[in-house]
Amino acid sequence: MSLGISLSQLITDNPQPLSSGVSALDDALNKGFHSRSIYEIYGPPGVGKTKMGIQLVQNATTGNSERKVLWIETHVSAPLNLMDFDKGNIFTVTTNKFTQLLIFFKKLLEKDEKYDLILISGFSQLVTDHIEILLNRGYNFKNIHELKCKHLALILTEMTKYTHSKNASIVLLNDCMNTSFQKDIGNVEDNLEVVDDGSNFLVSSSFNSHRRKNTQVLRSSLVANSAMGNKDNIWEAFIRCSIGIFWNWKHKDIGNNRKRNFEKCRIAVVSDLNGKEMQNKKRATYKNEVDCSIVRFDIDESSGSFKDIKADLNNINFDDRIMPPQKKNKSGSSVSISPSLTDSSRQVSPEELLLDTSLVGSAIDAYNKTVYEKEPELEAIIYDSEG
Amino acid sequence: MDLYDELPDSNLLYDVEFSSLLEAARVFQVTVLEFLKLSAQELARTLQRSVVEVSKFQNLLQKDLDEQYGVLNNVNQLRECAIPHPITTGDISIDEALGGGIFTKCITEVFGESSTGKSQFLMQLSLAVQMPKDCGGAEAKCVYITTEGDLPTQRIQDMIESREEFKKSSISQSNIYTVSCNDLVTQEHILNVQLPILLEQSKGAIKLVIIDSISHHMRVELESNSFKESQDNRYYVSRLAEALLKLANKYNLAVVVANQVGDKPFIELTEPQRYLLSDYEYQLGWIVGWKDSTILFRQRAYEELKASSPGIIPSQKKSFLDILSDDEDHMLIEKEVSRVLNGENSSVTRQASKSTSSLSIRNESSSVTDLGKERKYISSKRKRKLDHRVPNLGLSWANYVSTRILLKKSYKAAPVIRRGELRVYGNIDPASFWQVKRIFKIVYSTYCRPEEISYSITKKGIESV
Repeated sequence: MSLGISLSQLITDNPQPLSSGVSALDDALNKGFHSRSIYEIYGPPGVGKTKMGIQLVQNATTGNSERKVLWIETHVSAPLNLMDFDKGNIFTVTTNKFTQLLIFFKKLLEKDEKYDLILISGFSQLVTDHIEILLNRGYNFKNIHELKCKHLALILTEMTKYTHSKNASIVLLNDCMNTSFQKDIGNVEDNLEVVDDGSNFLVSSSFNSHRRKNTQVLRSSLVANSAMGNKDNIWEAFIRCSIGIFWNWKHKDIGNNRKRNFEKCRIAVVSDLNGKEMQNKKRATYKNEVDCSIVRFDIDESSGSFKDIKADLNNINFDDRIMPPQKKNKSGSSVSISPSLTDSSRQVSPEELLLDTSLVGSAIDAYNKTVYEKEPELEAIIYDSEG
Repeated sequence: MDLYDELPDSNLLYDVEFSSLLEAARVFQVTVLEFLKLSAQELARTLQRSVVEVSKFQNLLQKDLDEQYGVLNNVNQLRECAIPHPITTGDISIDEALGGGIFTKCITEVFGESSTGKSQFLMQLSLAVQMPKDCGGAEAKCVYITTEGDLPTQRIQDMIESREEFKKSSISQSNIYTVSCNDLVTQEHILNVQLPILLEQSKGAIKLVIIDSISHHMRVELESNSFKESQDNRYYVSRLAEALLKLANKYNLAVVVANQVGDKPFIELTEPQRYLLSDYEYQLGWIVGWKDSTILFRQRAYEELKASSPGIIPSQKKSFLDILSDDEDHMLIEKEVSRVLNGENSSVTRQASKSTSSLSIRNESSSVTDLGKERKYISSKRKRKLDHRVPNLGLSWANYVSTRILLKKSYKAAPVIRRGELRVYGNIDPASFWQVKRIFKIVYSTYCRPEEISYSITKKGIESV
């Protein structure tokens, strides 16, 4: 089930997914960046988000003169001088405001211009600015998270309309921010499971809330801004995959030998937000429990572009730092991967759960108010336990 | 309501007809976006105003927005002239490493401790931008905003006179507009009012804006004691960066700022802590340009804690300290000094111990912990010090920076030590043991790969060696 796909569209043949140039990443995305989908790429400054964007443009335009690419710049200009390939089919536009971008997509749909790939560099900056403007104009801080989710759902709806009508892919290049806000605290839906017997009862599952003290986490700026909260799944439903790019060491034995080989590489953490790629049985909304794939890549010295790492299998740095050391198994109870850390994890008291259940109703109400244009399918996506 | 932010020129702002509607929107917290998306009936109910009034306002609002964004939202074919281009720094090796020089339409940040040559580099840029285009310059003028005292004009004059190519191209200080601001309010006024006007009037003659330094007043004046305040500061920083980028894009000019450093000391924890990949602490070193050994050490230090038996601090464990590189220069000097002292009488030894203690201060190479407390001259292994400096203003600033450059100063053993000639001179003045070593490090850049270049500060400015 997907967003707003009409039967007639399903019949039309799908174009080949766009390759990122890193085959492991393509695999994680189920063959590449698909049409009719929105993707998010985020990461710290300097890790190569823009470079990845340029590589996508290059892969989209070379060898296919039909394909057109639109690069939407925001505050930071796109380094278009770095594109040393035919730029005949590349178009640009600059938007500095959230509202401007919204209007742009509306008009783009009316104008009937077809772009196969649209990149928006710095999308998260527009969102952050938008939130700050509203807060400065006296908008109530308590409601700002819901408003952010609403407005994001709104603009992503426009984008989804475009991707579906034009068979396009949209890739958002976002910043990340550090935050100590932990999503699992008081997140209603995560603590509860829908009993799969047709009744609408919510039951609490046993779980270990693993909280680490004084730790700041890097998250997409769409999540980590002034309007943090636990309903981000409302707009995340529109995004097919979120790809976080981080640095890590290339070799497992770094520091253990005297060779002092400090080679590093990039790690892409592909979060399958809607359970499409990995055929997840349940549409998990809990960030830490969304299935992710881990891809290692780096700049290939000869071509200068991002490529897979052909590493010595005996010396691969197993990226056991991706997930918090806790994962739900099938029965819903928690299993700790790293026993050494269980002592710092925390059991939630029944009182706390009780408190949370009372919020379920209001959370669902809030969600229902969110989508202005009724999209019955969308509601199903989030709350349908069948997936 | 955010009408002013969305449509600063709209007549709707002052229209008396809608003043009560706008007031209602403020009270009920309805934003411009809701006016665009919700139906008139729904809005009228929320705002307790008439449907006719709301729908009339909606139409006008939509019209105004379309007008404002009509041209801006036109998609353009890529134009070569609007593409960012590099301006020379006045040094060939540095230009090469940067992918051609300092790029227009983006922010370049130069950070480092004091006396590392930030201002020297910026002054050199203010002259290099005036160079003819076939020499990599922009044949353009420059704005130099200082926050700590006035621009040292004498030093700039010296730079011009010490370089043939500057003299030949008739480069002069008269092409540098300079202003100094003494507090945050002045700085705001200069950046938000005076600078845009100056750029408008100069009609594209200015291709470089320098701010030395960006964080000076902000660090002093902006407080962050609560979540709200720190969010406000983040917003302040991003608004500042966006204003600079707006000018950079509009006039296709380069913005180069100096940034000061803050301290991020390594703290010994007593509880084990394991960082995850996406933890800020885990990634931080790569964003701020620390040495590889420092990054790994700080990532792993708290993990070691659990493995070691109680009471032993892991950073004192020898195997773990192997991550850090040996301070070979320091050990060499100690060896040489002790060789000179051997066989001499005890009065000199006292003098020498005095000199070695001042040594460790000079070299900033004392080991992480007090490992060296009871150290003997030759036997101990010294480790190079952990990096602990981070550029100010945090990620909210770094996200807008396209090229981040670190200027670093360290000390290495002087030639007299390396050649083992100390004995010949018999001089145990610690000042003569050390030689300054400067590194120009590109931490990250959209336009080039990370790289390190050695440089020295000379009469001409900054020169790669």
